[in-house]
Amino acid sequence: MATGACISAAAVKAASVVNYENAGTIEFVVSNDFSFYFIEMNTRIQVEHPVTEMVTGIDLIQAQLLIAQGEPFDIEQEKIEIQGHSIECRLNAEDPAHQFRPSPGLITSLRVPGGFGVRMDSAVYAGYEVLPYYDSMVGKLIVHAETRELAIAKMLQALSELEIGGLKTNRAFHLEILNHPDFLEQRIHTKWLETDWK
Amino acid sequence: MKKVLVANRGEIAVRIIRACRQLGIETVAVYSDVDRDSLHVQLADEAFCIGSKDLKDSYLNMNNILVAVGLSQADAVHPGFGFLSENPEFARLCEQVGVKFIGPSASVIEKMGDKSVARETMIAAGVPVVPGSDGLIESATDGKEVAKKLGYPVLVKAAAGGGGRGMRVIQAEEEFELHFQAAKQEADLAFGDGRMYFSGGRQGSFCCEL
Repeated sequence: MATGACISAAAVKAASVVNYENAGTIEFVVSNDFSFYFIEMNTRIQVEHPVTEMVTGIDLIQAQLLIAQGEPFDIEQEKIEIQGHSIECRLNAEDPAHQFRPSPGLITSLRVPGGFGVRMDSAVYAGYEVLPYYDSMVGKLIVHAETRELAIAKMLQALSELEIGGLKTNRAFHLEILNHPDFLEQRIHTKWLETDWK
Repeated sequence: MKKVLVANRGEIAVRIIRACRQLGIETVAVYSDVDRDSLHVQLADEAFCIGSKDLKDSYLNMNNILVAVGLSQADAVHPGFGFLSENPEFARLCEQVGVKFIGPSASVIEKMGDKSVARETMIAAGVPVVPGSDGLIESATDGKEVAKKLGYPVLVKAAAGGGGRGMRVIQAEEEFELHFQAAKQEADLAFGDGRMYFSGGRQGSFCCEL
């Protein structure tokens, strides 16, 4: 079995041994030699759930509601097909030039990207004030395309359309990563930002 | 389910409200006094202010949220992510007052949400786990000893954690105390639970969420 399939099997096993009900996420870490290890389970919907939704075509929040309602669960594992590639960028009101410190304030203007396979999950609008008391995430930009290369191209286009006026955000930082040779050639790992960035 | 109370704010609250409305389920938003103009408040059928801006007075205040549940007569609560989503006490209270908590049962949250118990459960089930300590770090002094055995850099995480809060990579022994206490404080503030444990994380690894 490929590493991905082994990880999936381990995830199913982990959920089964605790008789898990409703949505949850199992996190693994994969080392250079492709061995993998359980890190933790998040017993809730994941911040990145749109990525799963885009590649499976399953509305996970709707599924959560239907499961809670006690409706018969009619999604068969064998019928779930991963289609294409999806990327999510978390858009944060923060200043990459200063250790990503939060940069709250009034959103003076907003231009939201669009197009086929482009999705923005957000709660902000022009005239909304990002408050300093809470998480600095202002939204999530998600794209879906046939291949990883096309998904990257789509995200680059979407990010170049996006304008959040009045705030410092990590938009340009996402663009730099998406254009970086290491990212394009999949030479990224969990310490990449600290050790190999720039 | 006829009416769902969304115990969260921001984009996830909006995401949940949209999904409910598409299924013909009514929605109740809760908000802190500074969040009055938020989109989730605008999009929900009803909205209740549950306190002031401090998390412990509003989005982490179980009593105030349950009062809103009672007043709105919601029959289910969706916790979103963060805040009370992995708090077994909140899930149990929902069960006790007869509203459906949209998520696993309190006992499963307890088991998996407590990251050190989850590790032990997975070890018993034969799922490979990251090399780390097999329990909680009782003190900075104990932690330093285990870290020496594991080899730096080490990753310390909050037992109640999630979303990157209460988590620090510690590069060397001299920094241990400082970073450990900072992470613990952050966890205490964010989750009301300052228990910490080690999680591995080697050089050159990928993180995979399924």
